[in-house]
Order: sequence, then C-alpha cells, then structure tokens
Amino acid sequence: MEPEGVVDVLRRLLAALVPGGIVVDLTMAPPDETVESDGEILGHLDGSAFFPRAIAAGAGLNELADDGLLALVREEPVTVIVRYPTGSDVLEDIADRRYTRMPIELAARLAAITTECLLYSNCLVRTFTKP
Amino acid sequence: MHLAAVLRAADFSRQRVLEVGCGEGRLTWGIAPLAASLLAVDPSPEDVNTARASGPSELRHKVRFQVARADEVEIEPQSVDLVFFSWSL
Repeated sequence: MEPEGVVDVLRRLLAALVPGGIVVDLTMAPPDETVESDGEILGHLDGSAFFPRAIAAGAGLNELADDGLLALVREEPVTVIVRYPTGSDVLEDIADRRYTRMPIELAARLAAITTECLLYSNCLVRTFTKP
Repeated sequence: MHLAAVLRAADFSRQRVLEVGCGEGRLTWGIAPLAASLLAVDPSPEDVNTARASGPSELRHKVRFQVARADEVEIEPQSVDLVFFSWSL
C-alpha cells in the first residue's frame, strides 16, 4: 500500500469487515534488521524504503481508531529470528523482497559465509476490533 | 515465528479471512487450515503465482488469490470476519 491515501484505502477495506470483526496488523518496526553469524553481527539490512510505508499504514489504523471505527485490543512487539543454513541463503531470501535493500558490504560478507546465519527482525502485531 | 505471533493475535478458526499483502503465501498457508475461507491479495502477479503453487492440495478449495493493490481489492461489504494486513517487505 502506498503511504498516500492510506486512510481511504483502509476505510474501504474495513467496509468488507462485519461488525464485531477483527483486524490483525503485522508489520516490521525500526531499527533495521540485523544479520548475525557465529555470535558476530555482520551488518544491518536497509529498511529505509520499507519503514515509511509501514509507519504510514500504522498511522492510518491509529487514525481510524481515533475516529472510533476500530478499537485496539492487543499489541505485541515480537523479535522474529529466521535461521538460514548459509549466507547465500540470506542473500537469496532478501533478493525476493520488494522494499528491503541489501547493503553491498553486507552482501559481500554473507557471500563468504558457509555456516548458519541468523536474521533478527523487530515486528509489531496489533489486533483491533470493528465496533 | 511470524506465523506464531499472528496466530496469538487472533483466533482464525472458522473465520472468513481477507489477507492484504500475502506475498509468496508464507503466512497464507499457515492460516488456511484454521480459516473457513481465505481471500489472499497481493499486487505482484509473480508472488501470487508462487503463493498459489506452494499450497497443499487439500487446502486449495479454501483459498482464493487476487492480484490487486490494496485499493483495488474487489470484495463485498461485510463479507469477511477478519482482515489481516501483512505488509510486504
């Protein structure tokens, strides 16, 4: 979803929801994701193209809640850890993403790593109800 | 891990679910066993094709995919019980 007009889009989607229905919002939150191997931090992904979109969407949901169209019932920050067999597997996975970028220096380090790599992401899961 | 957090957030059992931003369906097929039905939407035709192909055959009757941006989703008013936003990375 583009940040512009996000509230209008959310309003339209909420029209599809029955009264008493539920909205679950899963999004990644800053700071940038960290890649680690063998206890050493290798670097961070570049989420600068993604985070403004996520923040705008979250703000849109907040606006609907302020207008009484949604009610926040639950919020859980979650650190998601994804395990990859090698650095190449990290590169392959991140290459499929639309908005997250792989810094060149980190890509070079990952390409040389043949042992397990861990990716740490900060996420926020929020649950709303539609009154 | 994402799936575990999502399933803690709400009870998806027997719900008619709209998933906005399904990507390659990593979460779609984790939710599908619980849901009554699931409409999964993503603007990328490639991702939707991957998502569609990656699901187990016994769940495919429950899941429908639509290639659309969030502002283009075609869905009837008050036709779903749960909307799940999974923001594409």
